[in-house]
Amino acid sequence: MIQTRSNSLAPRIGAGVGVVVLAAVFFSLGMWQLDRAAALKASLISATTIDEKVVALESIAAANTSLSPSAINRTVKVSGHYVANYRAPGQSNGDGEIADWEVALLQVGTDRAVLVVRGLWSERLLNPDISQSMGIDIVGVLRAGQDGDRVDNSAGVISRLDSAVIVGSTDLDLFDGYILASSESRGGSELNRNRPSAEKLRSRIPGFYWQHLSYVVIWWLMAGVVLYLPFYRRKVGT
Amino acid sequence: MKSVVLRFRVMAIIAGLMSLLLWFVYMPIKYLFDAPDLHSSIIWIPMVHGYLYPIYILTAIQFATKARWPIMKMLGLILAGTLPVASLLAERRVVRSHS
Repeated sequence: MIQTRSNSLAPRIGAGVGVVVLAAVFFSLGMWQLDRAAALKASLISATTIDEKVVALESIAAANTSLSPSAINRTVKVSGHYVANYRAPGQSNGDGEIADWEVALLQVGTDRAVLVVRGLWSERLLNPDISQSMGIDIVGVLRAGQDGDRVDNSAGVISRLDSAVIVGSTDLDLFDGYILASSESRGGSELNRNRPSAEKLRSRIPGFYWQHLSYVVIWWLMAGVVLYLPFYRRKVGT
Repeated sequence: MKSVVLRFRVMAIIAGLMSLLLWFVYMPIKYLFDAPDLHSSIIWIPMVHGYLYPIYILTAIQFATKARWPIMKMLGLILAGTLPVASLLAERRVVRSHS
């Protein structure tokens, strides 16, 4: 069968435009992966860097308001008194060790409260002199609320470290997220107990940095293939 | 032409097997079962598929061009690499017509 080649200009222009558009799409997809690689790198830095400068909780966060990204992982101080105690099962520390944690609801002022991780549940009886009416000063790292449930919610047990899970059991206005306490003191005297280290956070952008960069190469390779294809077909045809 | 067909056949079989793994192993575990540990152990499947598919495309383009296939038929051959058994069927078709 003899193939006939059209000499008309319109199909050639159409094919040329199609090739350029397709190559542009592939090139844009490569640029998108490049942006994702940069965003992944930036988010990994912000997720693992803790700002040690101590600031007042209420200077960077407000009750009933979502935490701003800049408030996450800041070291905060706050004072108040505990009004409730919970067990948070299956929590992982920075070394990957899993244990039940003791979490308390710290009332701040008259109508606000924040969740505070005090320490291991097994050490909850170390400070029997602390009652719920006593004023406590907290310093710790402000963390975003967890996403996934570890267990089911039940009386005295919270499924994850997230103020959303206790919103129905208190009239107080809750701060978003929780504080991982590094120190608790009462009247200037420190309460000594083991404090869990922060779980290593993962970026919400899936994949690895090198993976996104390799996809850049693949998309741009595809753009190159599309641009070269008409010349290759012509070369093979002759 | 023989080496072009051979290259395409090898990549079509590999892409077909990777698509089978992707559709019938990785996706059910990721989207139907709540098994994060299992998921992390099979995360290599979409990655390997992602890297092999462009190579399949290159071999498909080379074969379709050498075989003087029209553009739409070439596109069909390229898209066959995305479906679990389509690239395997395409490989059989190429073997029948070019062996």
